[in-house]
Amino acid sequence: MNKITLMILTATILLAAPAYSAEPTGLEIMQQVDARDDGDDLIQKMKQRLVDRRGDVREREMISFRKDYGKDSKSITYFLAPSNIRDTALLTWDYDGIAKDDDQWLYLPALKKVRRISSSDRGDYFMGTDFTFEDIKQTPELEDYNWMLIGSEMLDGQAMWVVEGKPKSDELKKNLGYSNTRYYVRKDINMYVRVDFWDRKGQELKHLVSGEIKQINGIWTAMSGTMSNVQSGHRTELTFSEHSYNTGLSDNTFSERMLKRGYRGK
Amino acid sequence: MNDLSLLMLAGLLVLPSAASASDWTMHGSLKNETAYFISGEKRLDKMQNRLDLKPEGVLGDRWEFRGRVLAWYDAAMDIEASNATDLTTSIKNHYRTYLQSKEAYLLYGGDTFDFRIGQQQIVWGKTDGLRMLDIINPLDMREFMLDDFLDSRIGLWSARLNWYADIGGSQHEFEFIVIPDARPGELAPAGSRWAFAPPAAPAGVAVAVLPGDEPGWRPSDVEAGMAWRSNVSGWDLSLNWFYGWKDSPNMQKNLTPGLLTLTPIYQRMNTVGGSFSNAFGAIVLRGELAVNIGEGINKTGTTPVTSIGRKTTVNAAFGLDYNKNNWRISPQFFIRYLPGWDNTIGEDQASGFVSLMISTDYMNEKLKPEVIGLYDWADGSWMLRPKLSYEFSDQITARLGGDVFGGNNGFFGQFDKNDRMYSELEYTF
Repeated sequence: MNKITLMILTATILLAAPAYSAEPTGLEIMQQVDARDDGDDLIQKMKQRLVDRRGDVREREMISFRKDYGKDSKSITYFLAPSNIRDTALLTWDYDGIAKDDDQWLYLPALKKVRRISSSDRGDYFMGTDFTFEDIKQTPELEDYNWMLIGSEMLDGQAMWVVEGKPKSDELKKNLGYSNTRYYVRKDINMYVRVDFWDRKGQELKHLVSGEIKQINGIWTAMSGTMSNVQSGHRTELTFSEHSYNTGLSDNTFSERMLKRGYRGK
Repeated sequence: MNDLSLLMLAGLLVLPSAASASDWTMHGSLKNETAYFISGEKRLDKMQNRLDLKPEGVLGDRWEFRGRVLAWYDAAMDIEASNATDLTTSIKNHYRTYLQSKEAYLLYGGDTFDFRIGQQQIVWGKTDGLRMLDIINPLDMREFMLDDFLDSRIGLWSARLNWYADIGGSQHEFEFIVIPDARPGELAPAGSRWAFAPPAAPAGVAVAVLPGDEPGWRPSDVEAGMAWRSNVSGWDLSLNWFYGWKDSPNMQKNLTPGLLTLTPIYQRMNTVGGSFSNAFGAIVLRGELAVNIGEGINKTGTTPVTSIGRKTTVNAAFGLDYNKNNWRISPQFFIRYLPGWDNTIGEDQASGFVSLMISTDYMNEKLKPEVIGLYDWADGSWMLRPKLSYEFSDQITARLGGDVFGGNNGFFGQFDKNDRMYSELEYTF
């Protein structure tokens, strides 16, 4: 190898090195999303508008409680309105990673019973919304996807990482209901603001778009979001309010006892 | 004192304390339930116009009041002509109107316990459709077992303490129940289309039914129970004990020349048992066991001594829920077994049911088809219950369904001439 070749090679390595170190991988970006400070616990109210392709609207009100236990978390969601689903409540013990399925219990006031429910079919839709059980998690199980950074984009004046997540196996594709997902992650706050989904056959399926994002108690919080299913023409609009972070929620909040008692505004 | 007056009393008791810091709500529904018999004599079974009210009050930091009143007028009893067999004036009066409080209790939520006092429905067990551990509240069987349990359970005046303890790093629940309001179940009136078939009498022998001594508000009739619940290594487990009355009486016979006298005998029993459930992938396993110690049974004799007795019966159920691609499939297996059975006992040593429920939904849960089948594997009779519900809006839901019976006699087969189609239109508020 002559001197000139050696100098070119050295220069190439030196020039290229900063570029490699500045650009994280898709997995690293999603790990940062997962590690983003979202409070140790959270109480928030939610309004759902379920709008079908004819414009018919069904509205629901809920309140949810979440608490982190290391990388695991527990949450409980009560339906407050309308009357026909009032007191229905879902308790989830969400375990990090894929080694252990989440535990879930549903309280059905019409039966006055708490039912253990399977959490393995994460592609099932939740209570008639356009969100699957997988979608309503804070972040997807990172181990289930091959993550790839496919570029950077400006969206609504914000710099975004664009990260694709493809389920690692056909079994996972079936289970999750997706063949591909694309996350638009704000570079400044490690928060995704848009997600595109493709169905198992590779057809465009739905889009999740976050609305206003602001800081509450120093934590970046989406105040609204809309999941639109382009195949069915149905969409679910979510509005969040009355956030309370880090209130020191008791462990008892996330129990069968509270599922059965229901929420009465205390 | 009837239920309604007790409900009003409870309301009066809580109102003064509520005046300062209470928050009252009223939810409920208006509903029309119309059913038409499509076998046997074809006619309206019911045209009920129901009002279901759920008053609730938050009475400060710890106390709440929760109530439920159900009332209806059944227009079918005025539309259909009376007859001398299954639609007599007396039967019509039984079905025409209904007004009962189903629940009316005060709840105190402590840090480590909940205390409820008043009229309650207390539900145990993990099975659907048939009851094994869910034995605390008796049922109103005016429509056999077709009504929702929430509507057919008879609320009992009771005190219930649920204490929650952290033992060894896991949560345990201990439940204590005392019920001074012991009551039997209520059967459909004799002769009506939903009445159970009476015991067969020898040819040429008349049958007379005497009144029985029902359990009631007496210190000697008080019922009591305890339960433990916890999640152990992923399993939801319970252990249960209940000292109560069997909901249905045994019929003591006395055969004299030309006359068979039947006397309903209500008997106490101890029930011990437990339940479990856990999820394994797409499958949830669940089951329960109820051993009735000293359960009253019918025997084949025709004298007071030989026609009834007591036995320990073992009742077990095992079921699973399979959930995939928005379909829910739930088979269940029930068995009742009498150890030490002999041929003087008026039932098989082993009997039971299998059931299958299949459901799904379309249009973001607006449209929900469902079918439930129950088969009595001891007598070969069965019941099939298809149903389709559609949610027009948040407030308005319509349902269309059928109840079809099959078999020669037996638990379901005795209603073979009662196949019916029904519609429901419900407005909730």
